Amino acid sequence: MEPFVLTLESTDSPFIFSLLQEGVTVRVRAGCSVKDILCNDLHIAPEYVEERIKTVFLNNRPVDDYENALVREGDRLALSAAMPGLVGATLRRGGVLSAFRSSITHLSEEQCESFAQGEVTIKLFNLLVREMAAPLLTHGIIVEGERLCRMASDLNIDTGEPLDALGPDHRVLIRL
Amino acid sequence: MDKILRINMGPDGAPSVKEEGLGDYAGLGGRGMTSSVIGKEVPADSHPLGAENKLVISPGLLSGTAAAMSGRISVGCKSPLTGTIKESNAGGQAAQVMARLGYAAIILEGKPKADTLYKLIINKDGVKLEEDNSLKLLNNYELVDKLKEAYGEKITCMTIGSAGERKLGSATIAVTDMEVRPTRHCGRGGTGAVMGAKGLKAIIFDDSGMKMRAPKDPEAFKAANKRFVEGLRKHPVTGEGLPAYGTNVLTNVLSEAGGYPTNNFSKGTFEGASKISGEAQAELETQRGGSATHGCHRGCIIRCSGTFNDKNGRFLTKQPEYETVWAHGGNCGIDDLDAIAMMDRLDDDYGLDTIEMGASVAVAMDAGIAKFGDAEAAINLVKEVGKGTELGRILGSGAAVTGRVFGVERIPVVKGQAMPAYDPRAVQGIGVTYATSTMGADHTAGYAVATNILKVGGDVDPLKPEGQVELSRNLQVATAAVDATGMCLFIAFAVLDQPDTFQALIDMLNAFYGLEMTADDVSELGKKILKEEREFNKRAGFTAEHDRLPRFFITEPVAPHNVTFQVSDKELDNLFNW
Repeated sequence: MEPFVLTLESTDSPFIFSLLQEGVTVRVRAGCSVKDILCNDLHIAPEYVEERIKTVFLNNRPVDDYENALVREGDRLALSAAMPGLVGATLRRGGVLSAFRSSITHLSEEQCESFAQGEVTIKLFNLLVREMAAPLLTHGIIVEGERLCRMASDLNIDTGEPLDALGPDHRVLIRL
Repeated sequence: MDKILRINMGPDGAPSVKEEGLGDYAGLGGRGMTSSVIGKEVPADSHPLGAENKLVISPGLLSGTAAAMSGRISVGCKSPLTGTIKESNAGGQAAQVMARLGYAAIILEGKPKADTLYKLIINKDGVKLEEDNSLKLLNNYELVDKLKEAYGEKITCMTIGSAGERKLGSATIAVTDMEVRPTRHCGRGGTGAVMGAKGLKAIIFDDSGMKMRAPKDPEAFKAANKRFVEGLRKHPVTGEGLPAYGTNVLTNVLSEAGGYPTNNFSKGTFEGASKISGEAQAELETQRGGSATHGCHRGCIIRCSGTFNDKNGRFLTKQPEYETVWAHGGNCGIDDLDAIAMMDRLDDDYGLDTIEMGASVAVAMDAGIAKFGDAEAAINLVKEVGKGTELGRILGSGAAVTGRVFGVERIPVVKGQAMPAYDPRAVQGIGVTYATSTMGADHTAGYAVATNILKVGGDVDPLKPEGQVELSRNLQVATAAVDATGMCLFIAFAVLDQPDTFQALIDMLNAFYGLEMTADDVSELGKKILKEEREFNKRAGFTAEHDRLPRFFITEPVAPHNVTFQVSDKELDNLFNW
């Protein structure tokens, strides 16, 4: 079933920020590296990725080498700016304290030779939520209709008449 | 800061108060001062609540100066919670004010023979110690209001609530903030119980008429402070992340990493994390007319705190910190920010360590006293402590006591002190610090100070698992040194990444005191402090067998990574071999 399409005029909404923090589905080339997806699928500037996205998790595992960490269909990618605290610094990509969490670190893999369109979950935390909302919404994010309606209701936000018709199995493609 | 105020609460008749020079303690401040006094003057086998124990209060070496971020005050004693030496520090106004009044330390000793409560008033005209039994069993908010009525709005207070008077192992010493609210706490290790045992309810400082401490080389000091501030402002953690979201910015990240202890350390991710995250908290605070960016003392430029208003827009508490949100939140299965903020308020009011109290409630939930996720039951358990009921006294005595009383196997403590908000199975390096710290399980014992800048014990290969012991050692050394300066540990993030910011800190110390210290000297200071603390603990009966995590961390894998703590005892025993 093709997703219902919801077009926004702006990203500046607590509603969108909550969705991005909890995680949204995006369609990308599955099998590419984290860096490849961010830069080439989501069109985020490489300088921004290098300087700003300091903490990366792939399926709960902290990533050091994001050029060789492959994102596959169904994977979950979480992105954060540099974090405070001993453990915050420990989780940082390639940081001097990475030995502290070596038992859970994501290990790099061989590159795939072919890529196929697939869906992955992306979560954005802290400073990245506002900063990366625009590129993500320009690309388009997919959310389950039921979750969208529940969250709108929790936040007391009127999503407009079109969403009233959504069934529990519908999905919504949200984009700018 | 050239004198020590020594108060003996024990003599017949009335306590004795005397001022003395610094003597052997010259050049010390903060943790350097507190651990040195305890190490030299307190018998290691003394009872923590007895006359032989001492309570030492000391601002850092740079407190009371124009140095940014220099507002930490240290309190030291033999801990009634752990039986080890203890240094616990807090923000708030006390460090700056006490330093400007000229005191490098206040040492409380002896024990009053009668059941009398005292208050200590210190201002430019001198020191008064007065009986005041009208303060008995007042909690911190009402107590500070009463002190403001008596001494004016410009005071700074260090106080104990009812938990301190009841001498509970989780009792804190509250320090008032810029708004003269008792929101900052020397939280860990039961320092409030020692103050209660000394019969001292409140210290009231007023630095009206006192000047800021002057550096030996004002120009060099000013230049170094400017570089230091610029370094903090340009760093993404100290300049952006912490001001925007506070320390609770860690909730989402730790849960995603699988290192967020949930339901008394039974799993590593919390489904409700996004509801209690720093991002959600900042949004809620702003919506309700509070603030997500606020300093805890004058001279703070990171401003990682905030103001949490209730649903009606009235002040409830300061912005709960990450550790508090975890302890009363995810660790108890609770995803309600209002309930967590209420428990933070109650903890501050009764004078309780939020980490220890949250851990006690979670252990009680594991025992079936309440259900995980039941916010109302959790609030009621904290209120039991305020009422001083038998159940409340058990909970307020800490997680170790609570676990033993209720027959729980999973008790997340080291040397009797509850672990903070990071699961040592997922982040094994912090497990090394928890196990070997001189203070019991403590997340601030080994902080993120630049190990490869300090080069304590040589360079460390960050990719080798065996580097964890070396890293933890280096961090503990560096942290002890920072704790001596009075600097907030959050400067560590900028120092970690920016060597010039670290150099600016050393330059400030040199310019202020007319010294020529190097990074190596800073390391030596940290090592000296740790050695003194370690020696005290040895004399108190602590051995390598106490430098261990509870057995369940080795036998119970934690989801989602299904890992156990794997650092060997032999490696742990190597930590203090330098």
